[in-house]
Amino acid sequence: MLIDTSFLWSVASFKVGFSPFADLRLGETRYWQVFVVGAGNTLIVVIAGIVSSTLLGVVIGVARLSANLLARRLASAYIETFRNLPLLLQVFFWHFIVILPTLPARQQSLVLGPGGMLNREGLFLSLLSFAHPSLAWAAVALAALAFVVLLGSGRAPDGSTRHVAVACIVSLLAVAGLLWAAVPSFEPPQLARMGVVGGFWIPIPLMSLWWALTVSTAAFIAEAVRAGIIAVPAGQREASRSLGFTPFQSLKLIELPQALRIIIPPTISQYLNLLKNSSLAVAVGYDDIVNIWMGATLNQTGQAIIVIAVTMIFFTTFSLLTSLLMNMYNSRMQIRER
Amino acid sequence: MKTWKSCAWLLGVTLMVAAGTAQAGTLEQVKARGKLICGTSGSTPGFSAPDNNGKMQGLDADMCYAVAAAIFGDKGKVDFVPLTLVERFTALAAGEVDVLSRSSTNTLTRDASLGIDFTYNTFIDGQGFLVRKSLNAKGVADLDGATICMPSGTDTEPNLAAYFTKNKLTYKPVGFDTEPQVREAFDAGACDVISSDKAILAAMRTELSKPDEVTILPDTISKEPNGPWVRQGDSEWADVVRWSIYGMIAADELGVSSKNVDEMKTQSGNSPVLRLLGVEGETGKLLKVQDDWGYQIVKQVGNYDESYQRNVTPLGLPREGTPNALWNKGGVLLAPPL
Repeated sequence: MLIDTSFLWSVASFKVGFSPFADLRLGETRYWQVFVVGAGNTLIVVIAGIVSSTLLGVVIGVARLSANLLARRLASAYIETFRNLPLLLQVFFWHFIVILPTLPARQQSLVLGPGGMLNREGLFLSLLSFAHPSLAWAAVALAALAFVVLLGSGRAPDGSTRHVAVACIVSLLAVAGLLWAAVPSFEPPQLARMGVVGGFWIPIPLMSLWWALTVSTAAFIAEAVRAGIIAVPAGQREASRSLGFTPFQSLKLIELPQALRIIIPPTISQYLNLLKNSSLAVAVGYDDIVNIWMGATLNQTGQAIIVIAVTMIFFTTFSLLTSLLMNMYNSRMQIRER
Repeated sequence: MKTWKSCAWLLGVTLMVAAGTAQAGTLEQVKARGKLICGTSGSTPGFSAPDNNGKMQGLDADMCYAVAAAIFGDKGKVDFVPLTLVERFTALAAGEVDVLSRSSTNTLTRDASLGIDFTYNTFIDGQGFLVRKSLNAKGVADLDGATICMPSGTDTEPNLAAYFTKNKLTYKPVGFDTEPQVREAFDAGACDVISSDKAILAAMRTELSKPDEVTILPDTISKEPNGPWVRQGDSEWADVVRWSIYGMIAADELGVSSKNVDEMKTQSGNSPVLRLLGVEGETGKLLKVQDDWGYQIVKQVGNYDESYQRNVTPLGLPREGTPNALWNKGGVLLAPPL
């Protein structure tokens, strides 16, 4: 077994399929770039998965405790199904049984207006370009500014609601006007003889994997959410209801803020699981770190020890980083003794 | 007290590791175990796939049966371990299997860097393309821009990259861990083209849901000398595996088959045949296997041609006129003199 890091700077002998933010040309890609792209692809699916599974998990977890029988039963059926099936099976199910067969073949691609097209090879988004890019950037900056300002005034006293609404409408109009003045043009992807040319490509394996990870992780997060809400003393809810809060207000303002303290720690574990489970990408042919780095690169270079060590360092680093961030958030949420 | 305990643990672990590394030669291990452990694909019809009775069949599997017949005089003493493309070489180098017989191409990188050694060609193949007939592709030149499914961690990826670069063609690769996953993805419409060794393509084709709707292009873009691999640094064991293969090829050349082997043993009077069948010379003693190892191989497994006709010809791949014919019939298979 050889141990030699110099292979990192030699040219990769194979092509990386999906590299959204880097233009990797065949014959010019170095092995360290393969690692970076693989790691980036893993992080894309993990970050998207964390956001979506958290949203879905909270909805399902709350539904599980809903007063509505149907919502309650559906939520428990969801949780029991997706928590108890092996994840690989779920990935296969979504990719090969649900998603691929429902999508049209390339020749019958679904054209989404000027937005792009969808077929079994992926979602191809039109490329957006502006005649005056500086105006477009100004629009983005204005939108960001307006967002921050409006978010800050979220807890404004009742009298200022009208000002907020006016500011909101004015900024929306300004952003739209700037965008219009920048003269946007869409470059839609074109159907070629053997594939789709142009457009921003989001491969189907990425979507299948993201969806499978979301659905499965959400089931676990839902249970954490339920546990958190149940742990809030019932008196809190009763008190808020008798003060005239609606059930939604009670949940949002009284119960969830207290429940978060119990929800966060188990949810950290679920995020870490999601990071590790993303390695199932190889089952659907997504170019994550395990597929193109631990699979292809290891086999082409034979540098098993270095490749595996680097992969382990990657997963450990990002697991620890996730826990660190979440623990920081957790300690901010803790009850502070005065 | 605590230190003592950790010290004892450390000592125990070291002992276990030492016992693992200071192992006897593979041949002694196999004999002591009473079974050969053979790494195969287990899902490639014609090369290694279980039949209706669950018994492994195929050209690659026959190589393992031959080694077992030579060592034990009983071809049944084999345990097959299915290995994916990515894990196969590591499994062999780490000692999980005694021999790897899984349509694996002999390349310099593998031979020199993975801690494994090639034995001898048992099947010479070349990389080709399986396409849907609806694409109307006549050759590789028509595949510009296609999405191509392929097994990951194989020779296929660099061959394809090199060939497409040379001919200024583009493609989108989608890599999978095992051949069945490639087939499923193709069946589900994730891609219109599969690239792999032509025999693997022929084998996959038999398992597609609509084999009539695909065709294998006539182009061959590489040479793929496949054969069994053994761990590096155990030449005694490599000799046993290599001569078991030579035995099958020699029997083919000498016209000894499982049907006439008993007759040839007593009546041929031809010295090379008698040496192969263990009547003359002491070839078995030299190899430290059964005295009549050649007889056992031919009697129980058959000669190379019998194995080829039984396993590979049904895939639609005749032997005549290919490199897999004997050296004196226009091919390259040659067994050294016994």
